[in-house]
Amino acid sequence: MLPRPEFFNGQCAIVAVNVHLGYNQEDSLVMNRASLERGMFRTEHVRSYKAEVENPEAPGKKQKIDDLVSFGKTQSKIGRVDSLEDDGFPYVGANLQTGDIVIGKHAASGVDHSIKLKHTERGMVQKVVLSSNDEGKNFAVVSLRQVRSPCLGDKFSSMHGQKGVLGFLESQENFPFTKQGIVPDIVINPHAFPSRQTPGQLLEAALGKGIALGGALKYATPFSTPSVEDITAQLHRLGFSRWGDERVYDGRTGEKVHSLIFMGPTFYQRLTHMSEDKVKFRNTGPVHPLTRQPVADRKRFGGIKFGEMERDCLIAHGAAANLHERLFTLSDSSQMHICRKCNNVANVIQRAVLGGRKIRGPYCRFCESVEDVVRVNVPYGAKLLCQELFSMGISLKFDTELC
Amino acid sequence: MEGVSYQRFPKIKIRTVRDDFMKFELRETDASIANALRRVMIAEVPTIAIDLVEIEVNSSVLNDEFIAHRLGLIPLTSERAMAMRFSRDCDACDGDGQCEYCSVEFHLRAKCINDQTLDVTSKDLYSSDHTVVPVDFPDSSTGLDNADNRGIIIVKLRRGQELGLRAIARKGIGKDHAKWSPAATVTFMYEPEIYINEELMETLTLEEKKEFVESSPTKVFDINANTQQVYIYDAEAYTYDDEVLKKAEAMGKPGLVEIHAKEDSFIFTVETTGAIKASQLFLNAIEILKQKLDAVRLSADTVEADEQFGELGAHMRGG
Repeated sequence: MLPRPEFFNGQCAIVAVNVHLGYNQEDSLVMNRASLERGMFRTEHVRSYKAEVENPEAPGKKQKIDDLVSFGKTQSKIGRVDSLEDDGFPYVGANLQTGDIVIGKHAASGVDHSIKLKHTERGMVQKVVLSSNDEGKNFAVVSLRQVRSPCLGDKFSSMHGQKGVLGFLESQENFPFTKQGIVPDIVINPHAFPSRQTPGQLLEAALGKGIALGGALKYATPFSTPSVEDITAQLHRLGFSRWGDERVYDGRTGEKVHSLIFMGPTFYQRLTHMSEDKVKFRNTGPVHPLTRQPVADRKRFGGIKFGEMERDCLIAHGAAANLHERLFTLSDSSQMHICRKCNNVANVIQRAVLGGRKIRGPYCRFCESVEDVVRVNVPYGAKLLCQELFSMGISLKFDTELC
Repeated sequence: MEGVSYQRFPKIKIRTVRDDFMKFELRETDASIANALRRVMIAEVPTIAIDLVEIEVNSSVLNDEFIAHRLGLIPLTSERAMAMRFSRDCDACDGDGQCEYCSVEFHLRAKCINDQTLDVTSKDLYSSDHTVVPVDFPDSSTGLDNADNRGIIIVKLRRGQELGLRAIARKGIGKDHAKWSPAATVTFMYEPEIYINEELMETLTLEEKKEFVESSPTKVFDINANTQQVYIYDAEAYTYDDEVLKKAEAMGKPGLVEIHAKEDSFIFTVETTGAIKASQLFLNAIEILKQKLDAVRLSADTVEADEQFGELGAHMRGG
């Protein structure tokens, strides 16, 4: 084997153990915006989209000519096709946004079968591959590339399981700086250490600080690390405080910070949990066909569940109107009819009236009349329950009152 | 209040000055001024950097975004930056590289035609303006002279690979993007004042003195070989790490040395990326700080805001 350079999927960030305006509470961390702008923790993500069509020349069953699907650009109703070329594929380098068509595909009859980017997905076209497989299918793969700079909410971790999300991007000039002008890339909270028992990270930082100044390569595992004496002696020799602490000046005021701050290089990795992939928002959108309540899934552009405990909170606050809006108006608001004579549900039916005309409207089958039928607002869920029970031979009775 | 003036006359003493490095003392002012200068030098002194890249052909191993990012980080000589306009304030044009007041156009075209890897460097960037070019100063640390200095590498090309692009450089400040920051390092320290309690020091044996001197990670104290007295070797090497104070305490001799930070005296270290000279960076920082103060002073509502600022309001209007 030839010696090859090893590529690491992380970087040695200068980490300070400090609080930073409260923006690194509860395992969040503060990062230096200038470092990120200079390229730290930038990652490239590639995502591919595949589409298949039946090969018309393939032997075997022949389909109707109208149903034959092929790649090609059509004026799709489901998304923009501006970046597509006539063959139905985007050109390499095209910048595709949310909702654009990635692969244009349509049947000979004109039915659209195009593949669309899901919401919140976007990227630049890296490559387009056209091929076929043994099953007589032609397929195309379009790879989209995206370069991501860290942003608020992205997850990072050191090699000691000290994971945290990015809580604030601070400018370089606001960070505490040392006499040498060193500014941290990452600031983590000191509370991350006592109960976690990960002194390994502190050892790594202290050892790494000495090594960065010309020490020999060493292992930073807590079992084989050079002894604490070796590490402290090395730091002392190189002109640093034995325990890795440094005197820093407040970047905002220029005053000397009262306490010494522990600082050193630590290997950090970017984890694949990124806020860009997790954004969830909705005002109006798809509803569940059965319950008519908003769907839950992020992939389907769903909402966030307002559950029992949330309901309890609003009740505790006495926010009745708010609760009504959340659970009824903005969810599955619906109406049904009640006969006030027999208190049963009066369904909307089509019936013949005198004179041979047919009219459609609420009608009480029990009383055989339309007298005293009222319309009430109920959640569709309640109406559904009532109908399901009715189908099993249980009729619910409703007392109604004008309010 | 009449007659009360807070005016100070800070003094500067330059110790070392090279093209990209400067060390100086700033005296008779306080941390607010020293820090304001530091912050302005990092984030608000304008430079010119590539901001817009139009890639014509790119068959290299790096993707377009990657190359654009690398181009942005190349420092360009920016002596003109102070006189230039921000493209957002430029009325004459739309910042498309044609306007001499706010933008500079660059071209790059490289193709590898033989089996040797071709390094595309900042020297392959052709500028439309000879005053704005990628920085190029002899790097004394590598021992290479100017002929071997090949500039900042952008990408490496294999046989058949090609890169062609048009880039527009604009004026900007470090606050908007770190690529516009002219500063590599800007830092200061308070000048330390160290007193040795000679009486107490003489109670130490030579061995103890040595121990004390070596307790400081930087060489602040030394022992005179002849008189065996501890003397201050280099006060400024002290990093305020308190190690010697802790040592004195541990030896049972608290007060062996007393160290104070002078509140009105700072030692600055300034290093630049090469975009502008270190001395120019400092002068520009003062100029920008003055402009910012003028903006406060001249703003129409300063007079009305007098109540809010109290006597500071009068001071800001030059009282």
